[in-house]
Amino acid sequence: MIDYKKFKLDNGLRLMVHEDDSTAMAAVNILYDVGARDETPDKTGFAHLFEHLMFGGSINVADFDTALQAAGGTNNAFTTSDITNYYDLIPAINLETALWLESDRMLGLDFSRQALDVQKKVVSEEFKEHYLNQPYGEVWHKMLSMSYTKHPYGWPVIGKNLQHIDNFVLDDVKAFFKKHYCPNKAIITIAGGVKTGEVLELVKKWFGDIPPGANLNRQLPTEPAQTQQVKQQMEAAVPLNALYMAFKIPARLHQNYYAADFMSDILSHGRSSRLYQSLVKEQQLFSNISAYVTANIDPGLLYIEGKLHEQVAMETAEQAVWDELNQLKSEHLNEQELVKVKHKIESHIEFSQSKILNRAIDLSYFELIGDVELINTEATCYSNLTTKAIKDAAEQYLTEENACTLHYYASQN
Amino acid sequence: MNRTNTPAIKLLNQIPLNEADSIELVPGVKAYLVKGGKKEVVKIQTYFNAGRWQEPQKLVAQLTATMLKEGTKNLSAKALAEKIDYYGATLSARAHFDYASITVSTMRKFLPQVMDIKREIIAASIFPEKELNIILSNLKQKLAVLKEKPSYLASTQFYKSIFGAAHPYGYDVDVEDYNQLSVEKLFQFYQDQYQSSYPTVYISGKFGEAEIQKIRECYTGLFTIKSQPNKIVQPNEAPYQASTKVLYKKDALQAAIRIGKPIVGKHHPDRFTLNFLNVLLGGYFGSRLMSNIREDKGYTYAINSSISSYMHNSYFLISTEVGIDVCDAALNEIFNEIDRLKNEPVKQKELQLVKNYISGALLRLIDGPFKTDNILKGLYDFGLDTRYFQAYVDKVKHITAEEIQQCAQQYLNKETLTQVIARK
Repeated sequence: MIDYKKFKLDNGLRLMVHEDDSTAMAAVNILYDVGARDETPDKTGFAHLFEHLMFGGSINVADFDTALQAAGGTNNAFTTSDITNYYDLIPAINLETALWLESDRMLGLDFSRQALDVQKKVVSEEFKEHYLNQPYGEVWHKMLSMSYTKHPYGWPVIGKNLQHIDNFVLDDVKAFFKKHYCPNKAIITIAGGVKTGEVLELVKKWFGDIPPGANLNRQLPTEPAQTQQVKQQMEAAVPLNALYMAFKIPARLHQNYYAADFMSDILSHGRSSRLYQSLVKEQQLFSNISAYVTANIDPGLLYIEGKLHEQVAMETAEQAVWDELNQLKSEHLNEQELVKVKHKIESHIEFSQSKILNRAIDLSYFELIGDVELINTEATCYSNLTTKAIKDAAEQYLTEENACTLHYYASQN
Repeated sequence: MNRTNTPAIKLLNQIPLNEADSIELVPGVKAYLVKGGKKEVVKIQTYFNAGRWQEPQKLVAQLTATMLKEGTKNLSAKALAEKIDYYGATLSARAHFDYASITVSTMRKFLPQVMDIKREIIAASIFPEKELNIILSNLKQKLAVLKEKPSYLASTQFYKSIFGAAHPYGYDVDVEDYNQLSVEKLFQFYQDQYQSSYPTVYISGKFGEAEIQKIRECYTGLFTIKSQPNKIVQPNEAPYQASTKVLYKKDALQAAIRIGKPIVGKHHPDRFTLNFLNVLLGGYFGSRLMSNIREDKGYTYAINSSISSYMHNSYFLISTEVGIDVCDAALNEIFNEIDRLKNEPVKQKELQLVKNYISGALLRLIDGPFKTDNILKGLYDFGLDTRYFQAYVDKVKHITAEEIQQCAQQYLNKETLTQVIARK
């Protein structure tokens, strides 16, 4: 059971405080309700580039990192399709330093052309390091664009291409900040060796006078229902053939999300999981294969990716995956497997929540999606699942007309 | 609200690291107990003398560890995986440079069942040939993918360059090396190093007497010590010589750079100063290298430096991936930053910044049982204890700019540094 107190400042900033007296550290997590889904198709990668610019100095702070590190703190941030999330880990005695710094960059950035130019280069190198200079690195771009024809999930958070990154100008930065970086679109969580009353006062002190922004009437394009399988193939200079499949699954808050996520665990969580045992160990068609879901706020994907053994034909490998998926539709799980996956999920949540930072991130995120109490109840959403719910979900989502399939061939030269 | 009135930075008076309680779990087997945490979870790590250092030929340690999950007298590989997963636990078995580890992480309520499985693995693994063949074939494929990555090529060459191609820390792996393995060789290593030599155990998380008693039972009667321990043939160490090597990878968009050298170990009197120097140069986000090469020039997504210590050697390493077109410029800047450390004393403000940063970082390193256990192991393995940690805390408080500059002059001469670059 994780205890927390929830507050809302007059300017709309939401605050969650979680006390843990077993640590001398404090985690400060600020989630902004903006992600790559808020970009337009001709200007992609900006939410993430913007995350980098948040470290480039604000009105009263020349250098965010230096000031935080001088107080013994460290920090980082990540951007997803849905959110941009910043966090600081700092000795609890210096909590106020983190609040000063975070509030200053929420108040206003020191927009500089030079900082923008440098971070454009840094992000381009990040793009190359993770996507272009890697075997199979381009696949994520390809699969998303096959899966989404209208919705902005059709491009990855890093952006569609290097050109988009290069095209951004200072006016884009200013407009984006004004639109998305304001207290009423942020959720701050403070966890660790802190006292709730003191934290509330400090947050009011540093964030209370930041003016709210205009409410955002978010109107994202709806992805039309997929009616037939999308199939593509391509060739690249990689050592092994690979198979990629993506199935549309419901949004994070949809009642069927948990069943869809559960299916990915049946398929691929742990060494006893079905894909590993059947396709890697027994049939030896793949050298590795995994399945996971993108836990998106709008409808996401259940994703399967595997590398084929040299002598195995792509069609044989794909058929074997289908056989596994079809088995989920044709037979109920036995009780043992159901309980096993529930234990896996329970344990995963327990270990993850043993860290204060994860608790802080989770609290902010659950508050964003509308139910902060999920921090304590989400395990039950999984443990209540029945074999029928899983079978129904498999029948509904793991179908050919709901699939995007990519055959990725190693070129012969 | 007056925002120029900034919060005063409070210095940490103490960074409290307590010695672990240690007990003799069963005769010859020492266990360290690191209690704490909010959640009802426990980690049991067992360290065997079964690393690269002890292996009779390349890859034997790694594959022996891997094969521990592939079946016992009573449990097939599949049944073993089913059981571990059924209790929501994770089991990992890995070989490292100096030792191998079997770690189980479990919810406290299933600790007895999970420990029974762990015992079975140590007592009765059978190394089925069929499973070995699958693993080897998959590892060969994985290696083919790794060899496409400039970062992998540069890292493996770096270790080869500084330790030597035949040294346990330095050797590189080829497909042919996998073909030299057999279940007999692995099983022999298992008998010699897992069953005939005492391991060391770390138990961390939330647990009490009942759990300790269960773990004790699981280790009872497992180890039969040979009167003549296996002689470990130490490789002939050639004296270190700096070298420069450029590897070419077709179509690479980035160059992978590795620069470093072997360096003094934890017991050496200069080591604390070197640790500090390393943080200043490349050990944190605000470091000289990050500030210059990422934040000022935008040549890279990340650059860092580190010092790593093993039982038989330690090394210093600067590591980055940069754009192909700025590779030479980045190399210049790396050496400029090293020169600057040698030529100019660090200014008071930056010195204080790094001191404060390290204090906070040390506090983070001991936050919770699953971090503290590693920190303590890094002391106990080397015959040290928490006094060493506190001495470092103290050194960080009092270190001077002159000491740091002198340390840079002594240890960071360009001609002593090995450079490896993998590029187009």
